Amino acid sequence: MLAPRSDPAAARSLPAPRFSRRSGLLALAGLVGTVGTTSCTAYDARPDRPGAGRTTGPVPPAGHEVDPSTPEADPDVALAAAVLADEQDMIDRIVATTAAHPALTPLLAVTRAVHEQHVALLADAAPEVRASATSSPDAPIPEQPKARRPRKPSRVRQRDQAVTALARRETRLSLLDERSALVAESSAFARVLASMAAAASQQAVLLRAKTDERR
Amino acid sequence: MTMTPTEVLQETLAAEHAAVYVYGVLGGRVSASTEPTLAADLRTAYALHRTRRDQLVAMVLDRGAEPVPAEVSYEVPTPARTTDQQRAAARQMEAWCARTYAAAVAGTVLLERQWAIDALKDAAVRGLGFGAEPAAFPGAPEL
Repeated sequence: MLAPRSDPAAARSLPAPRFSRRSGLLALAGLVGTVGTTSCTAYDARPDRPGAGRTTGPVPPAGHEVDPSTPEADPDVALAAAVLADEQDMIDRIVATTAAHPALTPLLAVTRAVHEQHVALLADAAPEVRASATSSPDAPIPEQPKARRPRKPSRVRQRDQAVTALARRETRLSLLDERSALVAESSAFARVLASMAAAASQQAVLLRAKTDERR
Repeated sequence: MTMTPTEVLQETLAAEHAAVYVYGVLGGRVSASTEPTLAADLRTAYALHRTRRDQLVAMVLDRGAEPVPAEVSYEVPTPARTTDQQRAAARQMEAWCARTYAAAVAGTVLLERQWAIDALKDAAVRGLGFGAEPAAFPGAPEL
């Protein structure tokens, strides 16, 4: 596409994607194939989690110490489980938001589809991962306000607040994915995570733009 | 064949050379008085890619290699005669840079990988400003 123009005969093609979907999936499959047995502690393994650094997982019985060379000890497995939980959490929040504000369903359809594709990629690579994924323990889905307030916000205002809250979560998710991409040992997995971080950044910007344009 | 980090950075630098050239061309074809937003966005993109180019030159030099030079000129992705064509060219530039940055994420570690992640996120968002659709996997469309 963007070849040097000075010498068409010698025009070299600039960097083309060197990755295929298959290679990406295979890379993930190698990483997350054992997440189903490790996800409970894997989530806590990420350094940004509350309580990180504490030993929260079960202590292996004597004679069953984990061999660092086994897949269970692969630090990318912990990342994969954390990413999946974060993505599932985002979907849960979108579902909760559209349940509370059905008028937002069309607006959030693309956002939801993006995160469903992220989850699907991981699930394609290792189907057992989906069943093992749980939402972030430190990020409860916000309940709709129950207490009476002196001045109840208008329905439109409530919807804007809900969208703004999702935009914040997208920003947070992007940072988490970015951090995971930075520390991933698998180069292919790092690329996937960085792409997910970029997708979350896009969604954060778009969601904010939706509320800004009404102000 | 696996590329070395230096080769990855050189390839990324080659992409930045092209981006700087293309944004320079696009910026010269947009009227700041009739299309102030587009003109400003193109100026910002031009300045940003120049900065990235200079950062990549420094990174390559730090690795003891000679940075790849820019070509004399590059093909602009569209005729870029109309506003729509200029926006389309900018969109294609950012999408293409995003693929290059994503490859750089895979081919580097630590600070260089952080640089590539930042660049990928920025390209994905900047493309939206030129009318790109959001994607599930910016920079990795095959996924």
